[in-house]
Amino acid sequence: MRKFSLTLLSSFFLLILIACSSAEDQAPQVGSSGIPVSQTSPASDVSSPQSPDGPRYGGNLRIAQPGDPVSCDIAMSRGVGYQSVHPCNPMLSQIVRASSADHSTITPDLAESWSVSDDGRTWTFKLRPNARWHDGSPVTASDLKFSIDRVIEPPEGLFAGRAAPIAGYVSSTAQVVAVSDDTLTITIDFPAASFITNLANVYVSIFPKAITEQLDPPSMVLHEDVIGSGPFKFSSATRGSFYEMVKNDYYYEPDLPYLDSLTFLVIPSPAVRVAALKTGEADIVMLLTEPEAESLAGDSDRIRLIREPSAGGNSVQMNLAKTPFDDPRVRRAVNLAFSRSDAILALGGGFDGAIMPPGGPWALDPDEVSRLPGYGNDESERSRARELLANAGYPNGLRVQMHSRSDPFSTSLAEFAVAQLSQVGIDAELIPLERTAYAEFVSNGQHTLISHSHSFSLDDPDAILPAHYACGGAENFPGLCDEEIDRLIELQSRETDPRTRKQLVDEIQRLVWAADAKVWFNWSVRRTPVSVKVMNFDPGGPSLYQGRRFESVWLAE
Amino acid sequence: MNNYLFKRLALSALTLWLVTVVVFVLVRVLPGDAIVAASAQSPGESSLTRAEIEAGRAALGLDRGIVVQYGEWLGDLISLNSGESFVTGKSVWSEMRPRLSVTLELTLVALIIVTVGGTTLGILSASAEGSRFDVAVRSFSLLAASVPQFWIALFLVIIMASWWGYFIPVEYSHVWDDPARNAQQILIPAVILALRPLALLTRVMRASSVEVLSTDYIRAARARGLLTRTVLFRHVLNNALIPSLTVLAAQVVFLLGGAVVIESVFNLPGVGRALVQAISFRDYPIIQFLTLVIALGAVFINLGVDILYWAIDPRIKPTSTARGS
Amino acid sequence: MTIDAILSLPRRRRIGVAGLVMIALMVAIAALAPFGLASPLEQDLENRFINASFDHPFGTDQFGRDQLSRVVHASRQSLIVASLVALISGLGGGVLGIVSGYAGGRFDLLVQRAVDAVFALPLVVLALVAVTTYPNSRLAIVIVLSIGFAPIIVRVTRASVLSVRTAPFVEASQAMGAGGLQIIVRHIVPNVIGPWLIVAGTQVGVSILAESSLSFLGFGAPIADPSLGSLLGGEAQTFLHRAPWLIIWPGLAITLLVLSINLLFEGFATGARAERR
Repeated sequence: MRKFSLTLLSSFFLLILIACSSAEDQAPQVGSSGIPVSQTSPASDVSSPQSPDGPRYGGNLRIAQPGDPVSCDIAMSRGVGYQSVHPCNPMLSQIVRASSADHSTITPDLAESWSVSDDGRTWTFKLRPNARWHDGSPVTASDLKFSIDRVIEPPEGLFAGRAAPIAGYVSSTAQVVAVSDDTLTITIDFPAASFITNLANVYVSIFPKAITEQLDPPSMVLHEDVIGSGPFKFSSATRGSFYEMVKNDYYYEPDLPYLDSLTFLVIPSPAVRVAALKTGEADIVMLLTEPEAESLAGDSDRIRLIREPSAGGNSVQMNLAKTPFDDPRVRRAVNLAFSRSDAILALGGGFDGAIMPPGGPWALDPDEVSRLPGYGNDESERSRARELLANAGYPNGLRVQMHSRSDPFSTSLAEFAVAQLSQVGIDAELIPLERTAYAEFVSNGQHTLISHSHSFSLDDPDAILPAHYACGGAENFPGLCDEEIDRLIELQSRETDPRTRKQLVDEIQRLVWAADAKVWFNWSVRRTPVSVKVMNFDPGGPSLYQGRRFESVWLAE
Repeated sequence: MNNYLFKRLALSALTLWLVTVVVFVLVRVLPGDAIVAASAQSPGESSLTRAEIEAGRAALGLDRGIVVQYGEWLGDLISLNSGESFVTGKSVWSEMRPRLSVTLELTLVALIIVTVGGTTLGILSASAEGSRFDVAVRSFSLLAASVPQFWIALFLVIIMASWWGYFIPVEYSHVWDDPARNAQQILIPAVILALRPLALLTRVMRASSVEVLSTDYIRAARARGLLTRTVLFRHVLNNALIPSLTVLAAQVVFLLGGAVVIESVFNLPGVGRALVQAISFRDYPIIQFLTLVIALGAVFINLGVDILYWAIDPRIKPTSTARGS
Repeated sequence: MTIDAILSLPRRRRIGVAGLVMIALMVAIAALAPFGLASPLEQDLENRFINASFDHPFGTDQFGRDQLSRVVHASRQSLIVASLVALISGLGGGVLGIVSGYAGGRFDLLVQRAVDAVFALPLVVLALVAVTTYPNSRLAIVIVLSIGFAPIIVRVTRASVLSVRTAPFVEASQAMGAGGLQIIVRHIVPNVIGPWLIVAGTQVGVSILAESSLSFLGFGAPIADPSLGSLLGGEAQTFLHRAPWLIIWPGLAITLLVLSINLLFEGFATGARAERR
């Protein structure tokens, strides 16, 4: 009897003992896959259907996203995410706008016309006479000056976010002048081809001076704070649930918008967002995974799927200040370890590219890309990588820690990277960090190797290169510091001849790629499912952020 | 009793103070702060330099000593100032009040389902011990206590959408604005949230009812047909009250943990999600306020239960003074 | 009731035997997993998103990893975490409950306030802080859950101590000059162990559920060694419509694990009640 009861008592602890005693740590192994499925030239199916009957007025468009906007003051760094830009942008306007398909094509917004002086330094913007704020008061040049000034010299406690490149051209607020109510001049430090593109960035939105200054801090954070000049104005919102905007009758285009109202729904669970789309509760869902996109095939009569090359991608980034990545041979080995075709297979698509987004005007020629290290034959590149590691003193491979964000998407991506690195004998221990902890960790320079994904707001050299590859750039996590690269980045910014500039940018791309510091292994595809009744929808081109004003979208019956 | 109550209240205040200190320190142990968090919005964040981060910290007053910060927070609290959110700059109380009402409603509805359902199922299955109904109830309660809530919730949402094309309306409507819509939004989540505590209460209720029904006195009375259904019911209830209260008190606090996942599957703008979000944004004033409110709830539930014990059966000495001699 | 009697209870109840058999089976599977099953981390990109097949009875995931072996390995991780939590909170809470119940006075008061404070602290906050500060550490989750579940065990044990403390046989042995430790070991522990075992044992199931909820929220076990919760909380959610099996199997595994633990301890509990009658 006693014996039996002892067995029972231990049955409770048996779970622990047996569970703990079995073997641990299975080295990750990756099945090799050589299927060449890479799409070297991005092709998109963005054709927006047009009804023969023409636009229809009315209706409520519903868009689902995972979280709340952090801040509608998207010019400041708190509101940099797409979840802030998308629900706030329809209430705002800019001085000029960039065409979402090509960011160097500029279209009018609050300024109906503009001109440049002969020396290429003084830009004069002429405002629309009928531009008004949501409260009916007119938009004046002083509002424009106020909005540009705060990007150049942010108020206390605020920081210019993705609008910051503007400050690279205008070193003092004195260079921004409201000549009269309807005329603004901006004098830039040097003639720069990209100035107007960066001014047209959605992040350089215009806020009313008088109203914003009264706020404490002077920033329109909440949706309900916003008094803008966009096609929609605030109607109602419940944080954590929804944000609703209605047609702005004062919008400068008297015939727009077509929609009566626009609602952003907050649906945290990705599977539930898709369910909302399938039932028609939502008309548009942001950012879908490829497998889930495939699952929508059966709903093609109701849901149209837009696949576009995204100005963003996935990379591993090595800290150049830390062993073993201070050794260029090890970094090259990391680059060679990645099979770009495996990435396209595993991550549900993608494009081959160098440093500037593939498919865009600044992309390196696809032929040249295919000859870059990392794009060659997987097997021979990997054996070359093992050689390099052996030469660098790691004949038996090496162990490193790899950090990533801990959200499901990032960890999954990092798991793929770990498996790829294991192919050449690099045993990376994956440590996912909570979003803010990760940012803190990386900004302190504590990282050795990170798996990172990034999405650019503008496909423009001045918006991308200084921040990511110049010495001390805010997004330059590897700590790349190369005099020649810095010189060329400076040079291309001042180059006004498009051809010469492209050549300079190409040269930068070659140098940066050769440094193997930020190794892009997959340029991503963005999938946006849209209900078929949504007409004239601009999916935004390469950027997740531009062209989200919904003024000319309309709903079919 | 008055003396006892006074003592308990004083001790409860101590407990609460302890919680606020622990939370105040814990959130500041977390890597990163509101400035870093705000710049780290996925998927395309814009990083700040160290100097910018330091400037931002100073603007929020985070560069001061932790004791100074705590003193200020406590001082504000005593003068009924809940502080301002680091993210929105708005008053914490005005931001969190609507969220509290959502979670409170969700928890209350779940609690009603648990109490009514658990009592009824428990007693009915006990009075039919061994029957098919009894077996069904016991199987249900075992299963309901074993299923992960968010898993069931997720599949429920997907199945309702794919099979019947039904989706719970997203835009949250408070019960006083649109009761019908609110019912749609709250009922299903509340049922899912109630599953586990319902299972536990049913088991406790059934067990104590079986015990009462098997006493000689009741058996004899029943055999002679002397007991009406209501008398029987009342008798059983009286006996099951104390164990049930214990179960409920413990579960109310755990309901909040469940609320976090339920709120995120059912898109409810409650405090569970607000708390997780505030932690991710390092919005200290919100975290401190919410944990205080939750602790306040837990402490008062405990206190209430102890007093109820005493009221139900004066022989039970209230716990904290149980060892007088 | 003696320990022997308590421990033989579930054996005499069909429900308990069923639980025992199920647990034994699952522990055996989890323990034998490394032998014979594919590696849970091996990626096979040519076989992504395969539904149930002979080679992959539970299908494969986005990287072609065998879902059966992932579920089995994850079950083991979940069991380890849950058992450690039950062990730590059970022993810690049990000892604290007995000592504070027996000693009484100021010590008891202090312990009870501490227990109240922990009880009042939302577990979510504690878990988020621990996992964020110590990433990839399973120990952090174990400690947090142990702290979170200790109060309930302290309370139950303390309550049973109070009920026997003034029993005639305890007082008699006090009168005969027995020391505190002797009384605790000889009289208190045997009488407390029944309720303690049931509460602590049930915590294994509760811990599995709690850990999976935390993982669902993204604050769970290390990704390289996923628990059942991290299988549910991982990227699988982002293609649930495409590959529902990636969510169904881990969820069923959790349910089965917790159910068998509940069955076993339901056996204990009903047995104990039947004994009392």
